[in-house]
Amino acid sequence: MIHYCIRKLLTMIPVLLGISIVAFALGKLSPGDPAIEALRRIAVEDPTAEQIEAMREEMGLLDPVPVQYGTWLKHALSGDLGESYLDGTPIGAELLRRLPVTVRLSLLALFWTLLFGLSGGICMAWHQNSAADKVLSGVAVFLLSIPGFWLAIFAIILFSEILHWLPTSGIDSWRSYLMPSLVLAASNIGVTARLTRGSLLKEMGQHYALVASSKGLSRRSVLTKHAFRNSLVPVVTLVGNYFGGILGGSAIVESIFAVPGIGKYALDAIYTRDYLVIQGYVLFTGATFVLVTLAIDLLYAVINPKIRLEGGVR
Amino acid sequence: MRVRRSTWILIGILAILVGVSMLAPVLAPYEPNAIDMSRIQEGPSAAHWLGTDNLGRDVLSRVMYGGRQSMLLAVIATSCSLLLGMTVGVVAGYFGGFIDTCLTIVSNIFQGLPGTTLMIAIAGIMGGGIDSLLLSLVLTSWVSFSRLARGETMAVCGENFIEGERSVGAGSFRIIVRNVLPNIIGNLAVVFTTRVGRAVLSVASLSFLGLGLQPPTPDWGVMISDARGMFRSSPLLVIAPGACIFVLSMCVNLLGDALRDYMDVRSDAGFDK
Repeated sequence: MIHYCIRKLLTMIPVLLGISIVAFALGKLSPGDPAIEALRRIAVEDPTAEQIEAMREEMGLLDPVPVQYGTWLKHALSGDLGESYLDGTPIGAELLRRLPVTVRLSLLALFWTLLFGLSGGICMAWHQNSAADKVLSGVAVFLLSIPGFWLAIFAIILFSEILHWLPTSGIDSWRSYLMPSLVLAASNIGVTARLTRGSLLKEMGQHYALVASSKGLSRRSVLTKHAFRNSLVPVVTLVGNYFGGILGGSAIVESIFAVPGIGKYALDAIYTRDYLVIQGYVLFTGATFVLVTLAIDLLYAVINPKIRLEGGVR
Repeated sequence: MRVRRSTWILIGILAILVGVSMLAPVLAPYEPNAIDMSRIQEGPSAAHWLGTDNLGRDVLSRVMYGGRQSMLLAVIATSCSLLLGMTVGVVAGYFGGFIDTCLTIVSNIFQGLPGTTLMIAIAGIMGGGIDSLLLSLVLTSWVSFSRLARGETMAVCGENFIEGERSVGAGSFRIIVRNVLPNIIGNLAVVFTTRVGRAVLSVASLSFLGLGLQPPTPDWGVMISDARGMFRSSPLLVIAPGACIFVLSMCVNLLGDALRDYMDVRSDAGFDK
């Protein structure tokens, strides 16, 4: 188990480095000359060639690219992601300030995914091939096919404008999180329910489940005591992927519901061409995702006895 | 070799959606971008079956045109991802060792970035449009193909008949083309289908955010984005294009399911009956 954890920690390092390279490259690819932008910010509207050259020198833009990457990474690791072109606020601090909102939203969406996805999947497997199974399967396909932003528009019309149950935007109270998190979870609920159903039925068909039921265990006990735990393994493996999808997708939801998270920050930055913010957003989201995936991998080790007892599979 | 009737219905609906989009220049009653300021936000009528939008453009014509670019983009981008992912995956799985380690690290990096995040970032930095949409779709979906191709290739290479081929002197290229690819293409086709569905949704989402196809392109995502604030006065402006995206994405998803059942690969299908 300890070997497994150490290996997981070690494989994380190249991934984090790779993400930082992608983020750095995105910044390099952005149109516009950072030196001219920097001069504009200190109110030099029409810089001369010498001024630009001096600024490039000062900003280290004349160094070889790997050196620039090194400097950038050193700053990024100490939390310095540069300043917003728009108002000069430090980007790292702003991202940190907004991160809890996005994480809260994403974790709540993950919670709905597991709650409704697992219970829906169990219900479908339990009533296999019945009307309930067919209806729920239909709902699952519906949820995973519907465009999230379209669903969000309908949800706002129905729950905010017609019924006046929930606020349309902002994060004034826990109720503000309900609609965005459910919209964010919708497609993943569909995927999880289908996966759980398939996985559970597969386990119920395995020899150990047959043995258990031939010993006289009721179908309910076989399902809850034996099959369910095993059927969780493929589901948990994918939870990391869902979280990635949720974290990325939260930008769209944040923009529709005006939730002040990091996704909204990045989208607003795109409209104002604030490229450093986009760069910071990629780095931040990537790092958050990798850390959460690591946590899930460790959880996976606890659930999967193959890893817990033998110290690793494959 | 039996294809269920429900599958035929799916294929029929898909054919109608694709057919109408392809034939839009012939079928559409109006020019999709023809502005008529005397008929703004009208409800459905005999002249305009789905009404008109805030610039007096015919909604039906725009809906007919609205899937052309996103469908084409989704198919082209997913095909590129398939080619890239398949090549990387087969090479990694077949040769193993150092190449495999390097390629796995690269695919881990791309898996470590949430797809939507990368798409938003690429579209945001390169600006909206077809190039950045293509690039971001390929960069975010090739990994799912390469992972599958790698695993499947490794499984196929463990079989005896590959050893047999080698012993009669077949080269790596020949084995890959003649033996490995035919064995893994079925599973890749299933992933391809579901990925096309995802790509359609991604294009629509990015266009909705203003980062994908740009107005005045008659596109479903762009149309919803334009009409967002007018839902109370003209709900059809939001409902019609959204329903098209939804039906398209659902048909593609269900087709993926049918394909998977048909291939009977790594699925619950065997326990389903």
